Amino acid sequence: MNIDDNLTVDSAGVVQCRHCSATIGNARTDPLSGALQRVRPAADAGPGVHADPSHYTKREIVLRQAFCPGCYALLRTEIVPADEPVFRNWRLAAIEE
Amino acid sequence: MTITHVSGSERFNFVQRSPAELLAAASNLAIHTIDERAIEAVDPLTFEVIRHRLAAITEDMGDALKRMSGSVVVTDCNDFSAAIADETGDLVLVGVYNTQLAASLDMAIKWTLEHRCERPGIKPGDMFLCNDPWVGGGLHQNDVSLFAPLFHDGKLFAWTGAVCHQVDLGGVSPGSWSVSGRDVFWESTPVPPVKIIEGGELRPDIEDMYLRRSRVPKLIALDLRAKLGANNVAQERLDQLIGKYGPDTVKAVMKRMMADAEKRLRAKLSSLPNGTWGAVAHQDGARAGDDGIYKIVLQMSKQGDSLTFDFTGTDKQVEGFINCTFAGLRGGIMPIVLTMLCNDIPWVPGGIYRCLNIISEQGTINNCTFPAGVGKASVASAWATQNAVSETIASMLVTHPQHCRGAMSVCEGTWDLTVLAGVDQRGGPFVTMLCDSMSGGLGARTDRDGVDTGGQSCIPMGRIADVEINEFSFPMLYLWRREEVDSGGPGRFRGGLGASSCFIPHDSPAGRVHLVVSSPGKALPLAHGLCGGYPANNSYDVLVRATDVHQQFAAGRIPRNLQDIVGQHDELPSHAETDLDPGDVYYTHWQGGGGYGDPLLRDPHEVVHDIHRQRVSAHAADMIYGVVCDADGTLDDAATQTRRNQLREVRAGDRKAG
Repeated sequence: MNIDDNLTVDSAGVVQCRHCSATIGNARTDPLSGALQRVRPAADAGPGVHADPSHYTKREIVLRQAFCPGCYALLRTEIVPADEPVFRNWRLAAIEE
Repeated sequence: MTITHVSGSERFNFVQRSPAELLAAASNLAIHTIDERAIEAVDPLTFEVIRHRLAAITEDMGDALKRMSGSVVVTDCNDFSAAIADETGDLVLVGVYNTQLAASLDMAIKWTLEHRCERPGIKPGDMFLCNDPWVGGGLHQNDVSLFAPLFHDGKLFAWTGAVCHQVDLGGVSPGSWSVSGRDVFWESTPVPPVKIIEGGELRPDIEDMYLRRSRVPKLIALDLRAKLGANNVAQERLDQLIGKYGPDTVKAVMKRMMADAEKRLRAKLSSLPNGTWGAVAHQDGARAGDDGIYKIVLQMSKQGDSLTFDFTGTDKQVEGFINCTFAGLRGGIMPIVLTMLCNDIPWVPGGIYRCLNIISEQGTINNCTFPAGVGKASVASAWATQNAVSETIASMLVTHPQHCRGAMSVCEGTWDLTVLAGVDQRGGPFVTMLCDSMSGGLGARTDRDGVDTGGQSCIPMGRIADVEINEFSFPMLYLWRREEVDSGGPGRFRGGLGASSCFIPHDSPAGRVHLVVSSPGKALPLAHGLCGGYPANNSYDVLVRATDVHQQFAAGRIPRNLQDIVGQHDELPSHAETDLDPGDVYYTHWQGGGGYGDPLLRDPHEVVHDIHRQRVSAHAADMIYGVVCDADGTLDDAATQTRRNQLREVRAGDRKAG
């Protein structure tokens, strides 16, 4: 079944890229374990970031992205405090059973 | 000073009671009820006729409010709502205005049934006023609800209610947005349900107590009468409906509407996969001078035909004014459930709530305890809750081949608040919340871009006042109000654009105008994308002091951007309060909607189209979308392919770097 615009998962829990069929991870453990991870300054998100985050907070704010290891499609984007774990995740009951 | 628990305040916390428990608590009242057979007995044609009549009555309530109110926030921006509830407060219908507000009216009605039956009693012609966010009926103290029991043949038959944002109810800062506040005692005092209309007569002692706190009591008094009128309209229409069809038939339709909405939502949920989706929503700054960042964490689980929203891990309540009560938490859930999950289901919260479970720890920023500050709750922690709920529900929907079309990235990640106060051009006092940021960008969808300046998730009928109405009503002069380039989150489908307003104080006899600013989302954007899509822009507010704008006017020029204005440019923090002096310029830029999917997969012709329409800059087209144009502005296919390959190589470089 399709998970989203980029990912599909089979009954064994294997997560693949919908664009190039590269294996990215396993839904039973970590769906994005094989994804390329990139952490950059928030300003790398483009001109929509108008001012340096340090003007407003002492915490480091970063752009965190994950890409398909096969075709480099962008799988996840978030701008968050650097010291926080990733909260944007998913689990499917049918895969875990 | 830390937030110290106030003994006895627990009495005002909403506690979920079953209809049977509420009927027992109100045992001194004769209450109209029906049994299941009466609900089954209504024929389909009668059901549809009465159902639509109830919807029309709710719309009539909104019309009455708008026609009688004197506040631009209500008349031109639709920051209000109206609802009809059954005898124990379960909501049968909410209008298409502010669904956050309507989603908490049931709480206040149920609390009133439990705590006001004995004394002062609930009788025909009574109406109760409430702005206590712990009780419900609104999300912060500015949300004042007026709700009324409807009696038929001496029995409590139903309730009607109207609620709208009041522009000022006291507190340290004008507009009651106390940006320096540490707890609720800096803010407008919450009023639990009081009988302000008794037997059809307005009680002057209660009204005086209510209005005394406001900087603009006459305006608040007018809005009170508007809500009184809205309830009267509803009760007259409902009386007519009962007279025509009989009380049992009308009540049966109300009950079946709730059952129908519940059944249809459960069926929809059953068709979606069981699973759990996680999200986080941030806010930067809890008050003026605070540079902390606070998070709301959500794990939403769908099991069978119900949803569970688990907020475990959310930050503890903070000193400041951004916390929200349980009403705010519910107000953050219901608007997204209505707009994203119930786009093909009648908006009947009384039935829809039956499909939802909430897990939340008291004492957190979206389920705070008294006396935590809640002055900005509706557009702070309630709004952030809304953002997290939006992400999880959309992520669930995109797994489904049909329901994915209802998914949407986060819309306008926050409310960029501007409050103006002082002396207006007619010499009278004024306070207003400028509602321009009602025109946020909607999130991108799975098959199309988000709507530019399309509004917000929680107020489907939200709108902004004309520039001329604002200039006529308040001592201000606009330099511009416009959609802003690059404010929509990039993606395969782009988020809708946000916008900006830029204005100067103008024609106030006092010269200066007071300004209150409050907007998180400056350190980090809050309208996140889906499936790799980028978030929308950060909020960005700039105050330019001692400008040359009047000299430019004298020379026949109107500045068209901030760079055109000579003066001292200050990027304002998330929360601030100051004065605008003559010659100062204020610029406020609110957020767009999040993007959907990888921007390198966006049709390059769409990007070029966006450049031509000033929705995306050439810089962002190159940097984010990898799209290159010729000198004449047409798409350069070869250069675009090369640029996109370069950007993919950059992404691949991370693997090479280990």
